[in-house]
Amino acid sequence: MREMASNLCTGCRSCEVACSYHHCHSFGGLSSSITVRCDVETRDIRIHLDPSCDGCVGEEMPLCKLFCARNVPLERLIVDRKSKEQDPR
Amino acid sequence: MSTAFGWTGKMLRVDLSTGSVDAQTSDRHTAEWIGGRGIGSSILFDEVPLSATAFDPSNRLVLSAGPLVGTLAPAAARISVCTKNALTGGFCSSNVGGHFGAEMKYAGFDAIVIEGRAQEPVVLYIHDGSAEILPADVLWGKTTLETETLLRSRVHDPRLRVASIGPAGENLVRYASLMVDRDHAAGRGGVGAVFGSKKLKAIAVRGTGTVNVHDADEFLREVLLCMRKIDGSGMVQKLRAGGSHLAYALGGPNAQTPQTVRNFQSAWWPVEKSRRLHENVFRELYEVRRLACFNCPIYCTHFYSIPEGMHGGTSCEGLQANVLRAFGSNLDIDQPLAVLRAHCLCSQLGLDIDMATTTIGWAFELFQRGIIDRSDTDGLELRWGNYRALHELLSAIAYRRGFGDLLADGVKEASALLGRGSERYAMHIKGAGLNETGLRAYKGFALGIAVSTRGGGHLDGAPLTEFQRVPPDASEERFGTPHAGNPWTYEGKASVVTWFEKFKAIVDIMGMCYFTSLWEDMDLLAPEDYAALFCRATGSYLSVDDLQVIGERVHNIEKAFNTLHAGFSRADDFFPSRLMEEPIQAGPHAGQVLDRSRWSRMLDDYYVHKGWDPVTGWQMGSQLRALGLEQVIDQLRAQGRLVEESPECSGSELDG
Repeated sequence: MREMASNLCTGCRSCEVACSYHHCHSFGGLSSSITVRCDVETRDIRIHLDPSCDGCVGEEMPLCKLFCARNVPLERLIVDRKSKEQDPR
Repeated sequence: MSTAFGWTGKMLRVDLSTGSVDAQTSDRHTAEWIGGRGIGSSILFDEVPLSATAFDPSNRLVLSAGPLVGTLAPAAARISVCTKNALTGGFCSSNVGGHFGAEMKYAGFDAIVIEGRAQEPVVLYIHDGSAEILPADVLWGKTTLETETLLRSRVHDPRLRVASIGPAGENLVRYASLMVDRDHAAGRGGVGAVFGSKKLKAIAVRGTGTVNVHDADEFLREVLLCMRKIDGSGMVQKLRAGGSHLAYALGGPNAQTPQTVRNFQSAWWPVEKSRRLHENVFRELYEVRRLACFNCPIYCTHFYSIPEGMHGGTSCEGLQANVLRAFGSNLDIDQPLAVLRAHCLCSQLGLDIDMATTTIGWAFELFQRGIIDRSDTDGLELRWGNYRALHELLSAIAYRRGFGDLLADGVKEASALLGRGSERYAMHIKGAGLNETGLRAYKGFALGIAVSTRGGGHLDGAPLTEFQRVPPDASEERFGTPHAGNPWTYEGKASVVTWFEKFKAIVDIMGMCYFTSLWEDMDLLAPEDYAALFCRATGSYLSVDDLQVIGERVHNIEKAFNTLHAGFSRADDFFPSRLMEEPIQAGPHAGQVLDRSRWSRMLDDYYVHKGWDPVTGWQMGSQLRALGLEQVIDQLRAQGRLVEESPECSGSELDG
């Protein structure tokens, strides 16, 4: 599990939902590789990445990036898909 | 969980009197009413007895999402909370964002319908297709923030979503709000008080299911087209930078919009005071970060924190335009920290800001005029600008202490109880307080607020076209009149308002946010966009015309609920005399007033557009039949409130 804090992130979870679509062609559920957590009191946001991330192999660009309205630097977290394509394990 | 597209196919039925919970199919309701307030209003109409008060166990609470909620459709985060209105006695739909709606869908439900009253305070806990009624225990008496924090820690799940009431709802303050995801309010109509009357402290929901769409690739293409429109909107850039605070508050960016000052005694607040509450003051001094509702690319809400000083420890999300009007110009308070503190208090006590401040503004004016004094107010000096008195009163209202107990029933009821001629200064329509800008100058905006089914508020048919100064050709093309952008004229406004009544009902039943729509900016999402998203998501085809008919049906069933339950008629579509007799004294709209005879003719025009009777304001059988609302016809006829034939005279002739 990798994680990062981001001041740019608004906690909207578009990345989460887009990721679930990549994995299972539906929205929500447990399939997303990304989870965004917002602390109820401090509103601190942390983005977690599960090892199931494949960098969105088969998509033109990672869907979490495509649907992020604030261009959060998710590339710091997500898997380099070139390496994934070479080694699909 | 479900193979249905868009919808989950289930609604949760809860009877707090018997303790039963039952997952039922939602297919009949979603097929006819789509979602949101469509489902809510139809259930209220069918199930709430005419004899029931808002606080009767037989009143219903319907929390309903739409078919797009939980998908990637931008800002499809909204739920409608419908119930019999605790302030007006008629219909209430209160709409709220956050993440609750999406979680409710992931937990397997399109809607939650609650009736009855628990013996002891309870919490409804919903998780993955199941629901339990649990004792509220120590939560009763807690603020909304404390409640949410405790519930999350109790189930050890930071992803739990909570809708809760604070002390105001527990104490049946008639404008208590339901707070969702900490700082998002379903504020109108006293839905928090209805929760309190049912001894329901909170609903907590968690779901790991999914929402499926029919044609996922085409749906995503449509979503990306919508996002492109949103990114290209100038108004969205303002909303991103500073929410509606920056876009509309305190005279707007050009200081051209009439304001609400000292309980509508004036419509012009000095520029130096507005500057002290400008959005950039809050942004530079107190903003911690931007936040968004579920899947919203507009992120209009900001999180503020004040670590030190007399208001230290305060933090909250906000601030939208109504907050600055409510605490700022209306109460003549120009201290940003005091405004922030009041906002936080309302969120945590669970009080609707608009209704609280219209009632408090009335009390301040009575104090100014010597109608009440410190012997009435528990020693409080209700001088304009006295924010300490404001903070004291908010707490007194929530706990119904002393003078606050009088204010807790809303401005109409409080003025009736107090007497002393105070009714003249009670600024309400249909019993709901008015916290609105521009009423005397912007005729279409005013009309939309006056005829709103939930009692005031600009979230029904009220257009923003006058704020935007929509050019005549664009107005003609969309609304069939060139006048939508001309604030002072009464002409053509009925067609603009009726257009938006249908349109905003469409946005609501989809579960989307108005900020994505052409209500906010003519370049934003239009009916065609919502129709396309709906069709791709659900696999059901509805044309724009079909959707507009559904929007009109929703509005008509709400209207009929008001006629039957609250007895509203044409006379209830008039504002207090101050707005119709006292012109604006200064500023760019000096001299503007809602002229009674012109208002009356505009109402005639509106009723004709709706197919309603201009004399009584009631609905007509022919028009309801055309909308397929036979059950509405039957009930109105049984109560003698259906007009069978078109009248031969207009209402304005009778108004004199």
